[in-house]
Amino acid sequence: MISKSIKLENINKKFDKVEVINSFNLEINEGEFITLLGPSGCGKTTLLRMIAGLEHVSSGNIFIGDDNVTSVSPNKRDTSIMFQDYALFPHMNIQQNIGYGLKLKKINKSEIDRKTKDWLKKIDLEEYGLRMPHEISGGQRQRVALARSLIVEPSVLLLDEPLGALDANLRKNMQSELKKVHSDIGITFVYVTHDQEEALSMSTKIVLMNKGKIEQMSKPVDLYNSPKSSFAAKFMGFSNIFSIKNKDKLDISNFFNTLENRDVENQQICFRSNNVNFKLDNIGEFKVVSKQYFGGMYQVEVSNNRNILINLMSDETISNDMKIGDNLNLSIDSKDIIFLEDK
Amino acid sequence: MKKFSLLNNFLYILFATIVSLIYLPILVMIVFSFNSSKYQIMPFRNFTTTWYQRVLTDSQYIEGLSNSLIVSISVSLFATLLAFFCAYSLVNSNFKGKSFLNLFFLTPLVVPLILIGISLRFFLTSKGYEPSLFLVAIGQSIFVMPLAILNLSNRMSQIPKNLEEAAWSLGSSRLRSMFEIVLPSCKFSLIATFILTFTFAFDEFIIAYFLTNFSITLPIKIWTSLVTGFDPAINAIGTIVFLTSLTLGLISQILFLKK
Repeated sequence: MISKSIKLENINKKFDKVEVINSFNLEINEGEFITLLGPSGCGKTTLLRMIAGLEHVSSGNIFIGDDNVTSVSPNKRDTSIMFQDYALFPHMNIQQNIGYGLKLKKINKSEIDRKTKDWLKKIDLEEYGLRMPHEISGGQRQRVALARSLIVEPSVLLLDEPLGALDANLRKNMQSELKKVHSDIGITFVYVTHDQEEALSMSTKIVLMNKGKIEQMSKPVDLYNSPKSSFAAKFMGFSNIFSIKNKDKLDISNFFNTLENRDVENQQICFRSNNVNFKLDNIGEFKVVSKQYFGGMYQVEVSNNRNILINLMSDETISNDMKIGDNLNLSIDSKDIIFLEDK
Repeated sequence: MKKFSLLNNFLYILFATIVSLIYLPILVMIVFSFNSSKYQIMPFRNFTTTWYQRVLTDSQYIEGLSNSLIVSISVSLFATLLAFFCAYSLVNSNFKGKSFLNLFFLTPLVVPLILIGISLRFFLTSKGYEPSLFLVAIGQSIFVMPLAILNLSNRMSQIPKNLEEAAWSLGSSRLRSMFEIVLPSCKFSLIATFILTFTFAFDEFIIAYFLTNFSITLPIKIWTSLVTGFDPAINAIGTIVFLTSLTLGLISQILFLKK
């Protein structure tokens, strides 16, 4: 299959008078597995639908490869879309579903038959060709939808939260399966999800979106380890985000005393709860406020007399006996403190 | 508790009254259609099927029946087909004044039939059309269209939008997806709509009365027989029409439930 790049140039989108996408620019290289990540309502699905041609842009240009496809209808675009609920045609059996795209291309019957059988074999559903969509399981439907999208050999595959309806176990399997499919066929994947874990484990690049704009675009490792804004930090699971007044004279031994609750004036910093070290100490400044079992770990909330609330993770062997009200002393390694760019 | 059971009994009686008001006259008609007496009075004399034989051999009734069938079938075919496209565009588009247009399509439901009949008669005859079964078909199509649009758009709004979107993304044109994706999903509703509009057109009297001259439909024939004095054959034909409508109505309701 041929892989193509995608370029979004100054895209704006308004629904009635509400702006959902705001001067959006993005270049996606061919063969990339890019994930649009963000909370619901951030515009990620709208953006995907615009690439597919299912949504008009209010202004701006969309290029697939070298072609400006901004006003090209969805059936003439070199893209294929997969939906969260799979959207299998309920009145066609599995074989007809998979072969539908080829039938549209006026390919002769025996050829369609051969290719469909090939795909049925690839997705391990050889014996299921004559079943109807409602007669197979969610995971199987998912594979059928994938085969139906890929059989037409698109240059770009668009995936709209395709794993959202599966249970946790199946989702893990499908993640690695999708990743394998991507490296096998090498076309561009644009993947939409609100699940950061999914994004981290599959993508070559993540576009974190917030209110119709790019918040941060990085490789998964970089996004996870060095978020640039407090929004990105929160989304990547940093539960400790604070302000400090004097950024240049960071005193690591007295670090927790210099923390302020977030205010927009000062430098923002964040650190992960599992990077905070702690010691039970009768004269420690922090008191345990709450303790929640997390499977092998406890998530502990501690607070000092200045109302600074810090989350930490502790091994269950250490904190089994920890009680609410116990005093703790905290410390942290300076390399674990991340300075954020936003105010 | 006592008060409640009193209220309950009252509601039962109310229910029984309403049901008997609707069905008792029909029951009487069915019973008398087998009565050998020429007059519609008790007591019931002998059981007979004479009236049914009369109806089925009387050329005037046969003509009325076949006219009615021809008109009703063309009306329901035309209305169902047109309503499919109307419903598709109403459900799948979003434009200013859509809700107004929706309302506009449904107004024939609340306009008195006699108004539709009279205005169409004046309008069409002034354009040089002679009153005929063809005009009846036009009038009745207007009458049943809202029902057909209502039924079909109801079904279409239940079809997930992304079925068609998936088809487009695989290379299907809009026209093609309408026929290959939406139409099969509306299969049962289309048949149900066809049957429903058929029964409405088949029973319709007022519009037909205003829009035809010499070729008459069955309801008109029944009416003229009644005007010239009571004919027990009316009971027989009424029974036939009622049972057919009932069966078709039930079939269409079952089909609507099947989706």
